[in-house]
Amino acid sequence: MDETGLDELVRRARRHEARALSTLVERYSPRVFGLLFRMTGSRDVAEDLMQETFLRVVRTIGRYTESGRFESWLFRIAANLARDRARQSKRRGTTASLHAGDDDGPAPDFAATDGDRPDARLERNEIGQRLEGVLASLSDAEREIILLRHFSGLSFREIAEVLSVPLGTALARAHRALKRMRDAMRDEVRE
Amino acid sequence: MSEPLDKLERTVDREMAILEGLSAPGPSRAAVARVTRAVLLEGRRMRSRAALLGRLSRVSAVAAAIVLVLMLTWSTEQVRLVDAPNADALVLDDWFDALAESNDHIATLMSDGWLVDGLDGDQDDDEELQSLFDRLKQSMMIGA
Repeated sequence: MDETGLDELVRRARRHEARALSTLVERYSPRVFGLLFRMTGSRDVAEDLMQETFLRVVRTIGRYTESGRFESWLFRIAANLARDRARQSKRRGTTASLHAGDDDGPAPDFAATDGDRPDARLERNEIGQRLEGVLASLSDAEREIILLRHFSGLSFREIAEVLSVPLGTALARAHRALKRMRDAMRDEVRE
Repeated sequence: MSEPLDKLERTVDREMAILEGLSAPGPSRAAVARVTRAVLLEGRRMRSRAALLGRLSRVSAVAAAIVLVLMLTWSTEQVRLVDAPNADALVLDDWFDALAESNDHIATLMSDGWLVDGLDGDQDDDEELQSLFDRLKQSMMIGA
């Protein structure tokens, strides 16, 4: 969807038009879920948070200023909810970390299409699994930044705001995490 | 942004290419349907709330207009009260009336020749003179 189309959609959503709201859910639920799933590691929790994210969007979209940054705003809400959930879990002493892997069994890949060649899909799945393993080896703070950048499209400056850290810290963490990922992937290939 | 940070951001963004192969799981259709239902319900609730607030604001505007009119009416009444003769003004009017009456009596006495005829006037003239003094005294007391 181009920017004009998105702006119009958001304007209609601000009036709480049913069609606009359902279009927003349809359009953004895969990416929002992807981020939440990667951050929480649980399909149930991710679906729960996805619902909460869109409900917050509906409740607060009147306050959103149309600055062409709707996606940033949306993913910021999702990321903050995932972080709040992680903090609550930590306080309760349950699973606390932002997760990289799937502990609820394999999840369907929304990027995959029926037109994919089987060998290409297999290769992508292998790479994806290796990346998941490497992501799991990162610290929570490093993984959070990498996942936010990858799924949300937030700039590092916006990510730094969401995480309440200086931009330099966010960039340094991301740089360190990516170096570790590269090294780990290289080691796997050698083995 | 400072140049080193700008450069680091560009570098990190290039390095992010390593994640291209990271597939993202999609939500189940049931979950999307559930979220859509919840969102539509919330949207309807928000629309109803907005409509209610709109009606309330119209009622509030009418109520405010009524209050404004009442206040203006009241303040106009206050101005009228201020313009009305107060207690001091009434006393002054009485004083002038009494003075005018006294002047009339003096004029009567003069025209009747009482003062011209001297002090050996009759009893009626004395009473009239006494009456004049009494009225003058009364007017002075009213003005005090």
